[in-house]
Amino acid sequence: MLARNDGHELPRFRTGDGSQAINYALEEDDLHYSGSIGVYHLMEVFVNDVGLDAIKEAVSVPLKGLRVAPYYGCQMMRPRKEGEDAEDVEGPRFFEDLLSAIGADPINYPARLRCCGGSLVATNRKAALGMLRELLQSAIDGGADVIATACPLCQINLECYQNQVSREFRKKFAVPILYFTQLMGLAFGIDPKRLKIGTELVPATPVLDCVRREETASAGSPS
Amino acid sequence: MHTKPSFSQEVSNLLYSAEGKPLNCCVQCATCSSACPAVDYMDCTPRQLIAMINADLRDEVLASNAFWTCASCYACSERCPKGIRPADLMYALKRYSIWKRQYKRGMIGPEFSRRFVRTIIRTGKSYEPGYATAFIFRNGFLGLFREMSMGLKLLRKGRMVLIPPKIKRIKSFRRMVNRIMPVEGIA
Repeated sequence: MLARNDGHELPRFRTGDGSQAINYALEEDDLHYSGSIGVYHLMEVFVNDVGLDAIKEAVSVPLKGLRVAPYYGCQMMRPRKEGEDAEDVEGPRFFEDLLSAIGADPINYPARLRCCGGSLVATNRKAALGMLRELLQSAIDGGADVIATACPLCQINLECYQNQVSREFRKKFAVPILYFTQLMGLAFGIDPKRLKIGTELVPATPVLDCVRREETASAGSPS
Repeated sequence: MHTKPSFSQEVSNLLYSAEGKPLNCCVQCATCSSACPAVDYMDCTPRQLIAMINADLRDEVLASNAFWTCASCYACSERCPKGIRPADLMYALKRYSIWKRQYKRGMIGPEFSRRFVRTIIRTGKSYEPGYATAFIFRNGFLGLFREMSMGLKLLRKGRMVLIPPKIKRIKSFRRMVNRIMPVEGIA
């Protein structure tokens, strides 16, 4: 996918940015990187290239009544890209817009752009559990039924270490965590098993119940 | 006759390609510290760390757990009003610390980093179980048991593989890495 440039200059390398060393290494296998490839998160592709209208069209089972906490995390937003592709890193709304497009009800909560701890779950477990607890509590306080992630590591931390957060802070957390594409798939009517729903360490039953309710309500519509 | 670079000079050299303003632009406003989600778990804040570097307090800086507790979320780099990139500084300090083999006792980061790099070079891909031994024994017997039972659950549900997958042309990849970063005993 080419970098979006709308007629402006393509990204150029700058002194000291490491491109010289990288290209010197790539030369070993007759490869070269000229900086003309744009790199985007899958969600940016859905929102900017596929477009929310096309996504709305594809929805057969809108996730009505499902309150989703959109968890942006860090790496999707920061560090901010330069120039044409610069994102609004302080007040993005595209994840919320995507969730609205699939019929869900995105909630607002202060920790939506905060770090989950990332690899601290390995190198400083206590720090990670503390950061995860802040996240989970913030989503719960905002009324979330489920947290939607956009980063596989955030997914692991929030889902697979949630029981350790409960133990550490002596408070039972049981918030289902799903990857955003799983929610999209549900809204498109894809069989939950194909989306690997049912394999979570924190059961996503409340999410499925909402979907089943909707399917019963709109019985007869294609799925 | 050359003089040995000061600690702040060495750190500044490590930050050259990070494109941020030099550390001595810091006005100690503490925006980085207030943006940092992990600051409560650090023995000194990002702001303090920068002041210590600018004062050439090398041993004190290297004895800190602060840069090992950085999650590289880049919130600080985004908000610094002077254009300094503290997230890149934390990486620079980690590299410096490992290079000089001087870091606070008990930090898991150095061993974790070593295994991470080794996994990437061996297979071309990240593989979590490859670095597990750097930390699973650090949370007591119960901690080890819980980590293993989580791994088993994920394995049973088809969410983890046992054999680390390799990329195609892994040998070329290793030669590439070796060109700019000599890797002992692997390439």
